[in-house]
Amino acid sequence: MRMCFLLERGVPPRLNPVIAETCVLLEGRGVQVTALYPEEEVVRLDTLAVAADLYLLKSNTELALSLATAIERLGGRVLNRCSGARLAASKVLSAAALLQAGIATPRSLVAGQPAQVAAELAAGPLILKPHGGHYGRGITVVDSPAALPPADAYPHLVFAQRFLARARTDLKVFGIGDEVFGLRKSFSPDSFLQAGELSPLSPSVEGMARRCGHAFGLDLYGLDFAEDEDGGEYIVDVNSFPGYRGVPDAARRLAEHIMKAAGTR
Amino acid sequence: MRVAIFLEPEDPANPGAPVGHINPVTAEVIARLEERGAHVDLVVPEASCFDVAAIRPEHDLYVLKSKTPLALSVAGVLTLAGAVIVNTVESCQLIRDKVATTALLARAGVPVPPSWATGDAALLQPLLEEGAMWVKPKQGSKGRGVRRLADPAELAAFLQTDQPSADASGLPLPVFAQREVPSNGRDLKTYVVADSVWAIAKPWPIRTIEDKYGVPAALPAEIRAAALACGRALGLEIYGVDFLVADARFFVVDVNAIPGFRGPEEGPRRIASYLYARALRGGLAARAPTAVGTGAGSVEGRSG
Repeated sequence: MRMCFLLERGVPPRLNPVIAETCVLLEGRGVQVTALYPEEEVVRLDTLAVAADLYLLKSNTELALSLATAIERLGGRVLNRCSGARLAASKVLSAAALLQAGIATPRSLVAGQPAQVAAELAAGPLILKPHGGHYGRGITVVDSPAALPPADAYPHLVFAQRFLARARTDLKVFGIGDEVFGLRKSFSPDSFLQAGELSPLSPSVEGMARRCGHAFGLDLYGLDFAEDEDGGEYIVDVNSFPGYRGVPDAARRLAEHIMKAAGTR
Repeated sequence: MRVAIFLEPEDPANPGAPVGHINPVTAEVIARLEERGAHVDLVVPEASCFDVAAIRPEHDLYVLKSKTPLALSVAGVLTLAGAVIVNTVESCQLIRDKVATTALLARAGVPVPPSWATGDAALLQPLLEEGAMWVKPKQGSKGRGVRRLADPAELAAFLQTDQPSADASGLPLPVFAQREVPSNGRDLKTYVVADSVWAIAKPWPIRTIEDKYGVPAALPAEIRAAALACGRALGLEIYGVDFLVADARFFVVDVNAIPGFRGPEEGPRRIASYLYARALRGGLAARAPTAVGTGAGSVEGRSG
C-alpha cells in the first residue's frame, strides 16, 4: 500500500511532530509513505497520474489543494476529500454550511470592502477575517467605523463576524473519524503551534462537532468554539486536517483512522 | 421567471458602485430574456454587504458573468441552498485553477502543451534550457500576468522582479508554466453554448479593435470535438476554449466560463434560449416550495 502526504513547509519551516510520528507508525504497518512538498517540486501536469492508494491533504496551500483536486478527479482518493477541504478553506462557505446544518455560528457578513460593514457596527464589534486566510493572519476586531481598515486591506472580499466580546474562545475541538477531543488553550499569534489542556466536552459541544464534521464531509477536522456567558456555544472556525497537538495518542489514532479509510474503498 | 445576472463592477476604481459592466453581448442576452417575459435582475456583488444567513435563492436562475471571489462566494452559498447557476460555481472555480484544469484536460484526451506547477519559479531553470516557456499566475484570467521566458537568463531577470511569492497567510503561491508550442501566430477562439460551437480567428497579441473582435473562421471537426470535450471534462455549459493552431496540430491554451462571445452573431440569441430553457427546467417553480427563500434580505439587484 502506498500513501502520499501532501505537506506544506510553512513559515517558519516545521514538520508537525504528530504527522512525523504518524508516518513512522504507518510505515511500521507496511505502508510505503512518501512526503510531497508540492512547492519544492516541479510537478508535470499533462501526464499527472494517481501514484498512491491514498493521498493525505495536510497542506493549506493553493497548489496542494489544486493537485489534490486533480488527483481526486482522476480517480484517486484524498483524505480529507477536497470538497470538505475547500468548504473549510472558505470563511463564507463555512459559515453558510454551519448555518445550513443548524449549527450556531456568529452572525456572518460578506462584502466587497470593509467600509460596507460600517452600519453593522452599531450593534457591536465585528471581527474581520481575510478570504481564505489561515493561522490567524489578517484578523482584526473593529468596534467603530473609523477603525475599519482601508479597502486594500482585504483585496478580494471582506468576511466579518459578530465579535462575541465576552465569550471564552479558548476551546478547540479535534475530530479523528468518530472520536472527538476538546482542548483549552489561550489565543496568541503562534497559538496554532501550542498544545492545550485536555478538557471534557459537554454533550452539546460534542454533538455540534460531530454534526459539523458530517456536514462538511470531513474525517479529520479542528474546530474553534466560542462560549458566551449565557451558555451560548458557537463554532467560529473550521479547519481541515489540523495538527492535533495535545490530543492524546494523536499519532496512533490518526494512523488507525488512515488505515481504516484506506481499506474502505 | 426571474433571472439574476452577476456582473463585474463597471468601474474597477469604484467597485462599490451598483453599476455592472455590460458588454453588447450581455445587453442583447438581457433584452432577449426580457422579450420572452423573464424578469432580469443585474447584481454587482461588490456593491453590497450580504448577511450570509439571508442569502437564499430568489431567482429561477443565476448567471455568473462575474467570477470575482465575492461573486463566486455568494454564488457558492446560493449553491448550498439549492440555486440553479450557470456555469456552476464548481466549474468556474475549477477553470480558474490552471493546475487542476490542465491535468483534467490532458486526461480527457484534449491536446495541451506540456505543463508544470511549482512554488518556486527558480526550479524551472532546467526546463528553460530546453526552450521558451509561458509562465502564468495560477488563477489568471484575461491574459493578466502572463510572461514569456525565452531562456534561463530571462528567468534570472524574472526572479529579480517583485513577484509575490506568498499569500496573505504567508503560504507560498503556485507558479504555472507551459512549454511554448508552435503556432501560426493566430489564436482560434471557440465559443460554445451546450452543443453549438463557433470559431473566431484572432491574431495574438491583439493590436487593433479589428484584432480584438476577430473574424469568423472555419471550425475543423477535431477542434470542435476538443472544445466540447473540454466542456464535458470541466462541467461547463456556456464557455470559450482558446486554441493555438500550427498546421495539422493544435493545443488548448485557455478555457473561459461565459467569455465575451464577440463574433458569433447568433451567440446572444443561443445564450438567451439556453438560459431560458435552463431556468424553466430547474428553476424555483419546478421545485418544492420549501426550497424557496423568504425573500427577506437576500440577493438584491438593480432591475434590468
